[in-house]
Amino acid sequence: MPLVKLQKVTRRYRLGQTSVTAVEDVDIEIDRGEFVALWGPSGSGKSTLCNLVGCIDLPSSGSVEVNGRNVADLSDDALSEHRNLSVGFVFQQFNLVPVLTALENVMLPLNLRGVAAREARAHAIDLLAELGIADFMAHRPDKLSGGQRQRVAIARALVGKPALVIADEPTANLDSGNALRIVSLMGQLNKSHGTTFIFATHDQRLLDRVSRRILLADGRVVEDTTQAGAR
Amino acid sequence: MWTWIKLGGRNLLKNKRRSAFTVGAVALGFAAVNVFGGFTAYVYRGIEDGFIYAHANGHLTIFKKGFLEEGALDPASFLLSEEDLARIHEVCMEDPRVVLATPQLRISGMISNGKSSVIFLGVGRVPSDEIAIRRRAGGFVKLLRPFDGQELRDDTKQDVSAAPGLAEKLGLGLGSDAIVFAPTIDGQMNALDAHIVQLVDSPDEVLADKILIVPLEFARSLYDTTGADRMTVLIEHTRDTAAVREALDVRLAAAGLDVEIKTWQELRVSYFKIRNMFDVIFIFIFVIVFIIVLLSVVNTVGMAVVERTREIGTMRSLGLKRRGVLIMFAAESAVMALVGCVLGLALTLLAVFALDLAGPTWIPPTITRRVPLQVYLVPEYLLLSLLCLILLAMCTAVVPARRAARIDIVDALGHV
Ligand SMILES: Nc1ncnc2c1ncn2[C@@H]1O[C@H](COP(=O)(O)OP(=O)(O)O)[C@@H](O)[C@H]1O
Ligand SMILES: [Mg+2]
Repeated sequence: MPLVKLQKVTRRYRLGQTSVTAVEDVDIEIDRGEFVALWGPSGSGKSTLCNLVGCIDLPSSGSVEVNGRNVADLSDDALSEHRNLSVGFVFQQFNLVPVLTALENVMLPLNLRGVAAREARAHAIDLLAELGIADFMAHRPDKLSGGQRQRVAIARALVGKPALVIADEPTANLDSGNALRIVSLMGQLNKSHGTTFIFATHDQRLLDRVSRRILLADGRVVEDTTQAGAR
Repeated sequence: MWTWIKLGGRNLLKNKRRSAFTVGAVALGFAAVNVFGGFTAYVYRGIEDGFIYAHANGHLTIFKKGFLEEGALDPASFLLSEEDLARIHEVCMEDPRVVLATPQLRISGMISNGKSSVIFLGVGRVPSDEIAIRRRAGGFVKLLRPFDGQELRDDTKQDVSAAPGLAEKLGLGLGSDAIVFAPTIDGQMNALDAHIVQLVDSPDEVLADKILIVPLEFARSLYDTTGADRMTVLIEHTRDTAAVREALDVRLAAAGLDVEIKTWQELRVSYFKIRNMFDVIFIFIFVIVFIIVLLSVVNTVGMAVVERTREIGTMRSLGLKRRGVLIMFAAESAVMALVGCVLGLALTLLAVFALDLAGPTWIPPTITRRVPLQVYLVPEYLLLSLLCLILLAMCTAVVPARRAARIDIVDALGHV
């Protein structure tokens, strides 16, 4: 069973009288352990697809299945639980909670899961250390650099050991050095933890590092290539 | 939960000015409710102690059954005889909570200065018992000396106490002599010489020119009886009133005494009228506080929801349920209310302290003398208002937070 299965997925947005089709007729299957890049120009539907796969959005038509269950059939609570247990998000804008320290931000998914504070703390610290930012764990996000914030965001996405990590343009706000480092970090984690990564980007330079790339244009899949030996 | 409280606390600190508004509203509300509540507690206590101690009515009064309904028509047959009184006294004193039981005899008749005479309503009491009752008062009532002149005494039967209005009507004052007339219980006219040594306050204006207080022996001579119409019972703690009444009811009945017991609340009807009035004012204040707190919480949380839309979207994407969003804002609101209550407590203490320092005086209802105006700290009120305000803040936060809970996650994440 694929981890995520999209069938004839279309997502339209209403804009007053007219409607915009962000994603149209998309069929994708993603298996465990894949390292997938969604790429294409701005406006091609990458973010919309990420949101659908991450279950924070629902298709207008077609079906999104996670672990064999149609997302449309799940209650909001069930979806929330699914996101908490099985999905990690890394956002372009980082979206760290400003009043919480780096460590507390990383602990959040575990807090939501009801993990004991001491245990959550230990996990979060380990992960921050692994990502090389343990020294900054007591800092609030506004005291961190862009690269550091993105690492914290990645730590937050990974801390719950989700099956799937979705990163929507995780490097768009970083300089190219940091961007490459973040992507190779994700690649390492993909290998070492077997975590499935899907990330959206329009930066061609990052593409040689992924095993599968899906090219989007105007909301449709134009090309879906798996390249062996990459990373 | 701790995460939400921590998050709430930090967000409140981040928006100090806005939180300060609601915290201030809660603090003022808390202080208003508790200062007024403390003031009413003081007034109630004054009325209670004024009746029980200052005017020597005790907590319980024992009558022959039917006296209150029919005693006026046929006083002779509703008097408690000397033997009855002795047995009642004995039964009462068996209860360790009873401090004192003393007979009283209500009388009425005419008092004259030799030329003209006026009607009086009187009571005969054992002077030493009356003094003992008064001495047991607490609070400001202890300081109250509800008369001018000197104390009545057990051994000088002719020395009596008159309301100032009564003395004035007859042109009498402290040290004057008077003649007291009344029919005995057998219906014969009787007269006794009296010597006014005391001018006593009356708890009601209508009685200010009628009251005459005499030693019990004087009243008994006047009515030519050895009985009394009631037994006044003083107990250790006012809160035991109902319990002691029940216990005495049983014991007195078992002793074969055909009597009934009334509590001070039943005899002091105006207590409840005053209490009701204060309760209405209290509810009024509480409603105002309630509305102000409600509005400011809705405002504060409403603004926080708009401002933190992106944060809410993030939390939702991390798996926070809709209910969790409500809990998050309710916790934040509760923290705000708690801080407000702590400040409110400080304000209340400050007010009580300032009042103590300034020491204003006034004449409260049913008390006849100027006494210090005070505000009591009532732990029950403090605790109850704390719980009420926190609960109110939490429930109110849910209204704007519902909007946050229903937010579209993708929209919220794109929100700037
Ligand atoms: N919330 C929205 N409301 C209306 N149109 C939207 C919304 N989100 C995206 N779109 C439109 O859908 C298309 C795809 O957007 P998006 O998925 O963000 O593309 P990408 O991430 O590749 O830039 C764009 O044309 C965009 O204008
Ligand atoms: Mg995008």
